Amino acid sequence: MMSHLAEHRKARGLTQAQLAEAVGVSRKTVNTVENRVFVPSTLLALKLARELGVTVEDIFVLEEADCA
Amino acid sequence: MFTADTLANMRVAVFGLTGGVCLLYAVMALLTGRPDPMPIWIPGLSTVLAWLVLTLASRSAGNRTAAMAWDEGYAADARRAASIAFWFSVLLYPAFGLMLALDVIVWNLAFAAMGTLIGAFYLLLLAAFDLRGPGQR
Repeated sequence: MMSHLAEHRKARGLTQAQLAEAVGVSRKTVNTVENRVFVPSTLLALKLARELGVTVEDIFVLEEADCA
Repeated sequence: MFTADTLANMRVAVFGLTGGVCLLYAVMALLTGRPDPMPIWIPGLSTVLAWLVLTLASRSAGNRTAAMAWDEGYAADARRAASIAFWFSVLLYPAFGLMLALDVIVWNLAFAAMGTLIGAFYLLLLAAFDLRGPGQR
């Protein structure tokens, strides 16, 4: 799954720590989501999208391999 | 006051240290052929101290900060570490069973080594998974 979290976060002028604080998780979790190491829960994905003012689909995009 | 980052870093250190103590005990037991290569309460006490340190630090940090540190990213790491450690633990039985059958080790040594190896593997895996993602600030 492709993650555009870093782009949207930077576009909003937020650091990982600020975004993590806003959605109530650790900075490490935000970093692992950005680096595609960790796939967040639906709840966290929705919180991230709301905080960044975008939709979940703007942040996370399915790739070919995910659909196989 | 602890931050979520501080708690997460402390967690890595505490789990790594406790896992290291357990691993050291197991390795020393196997190398020396003694089930008590060091005082037998050391692995157990280090585990209790780890729990105490992390609990007290989390409580002093406050509910929100503690929840941030022990979030779903940590839970996923813990599940992954547990699932791998489970199979490692299962594999220890035939491995030590073979050594017992060949009279390479004795029962009480196998008991001590397996017990500490299981704890060590889980804790060190958890610390390793927890180490990922320091990244940028």
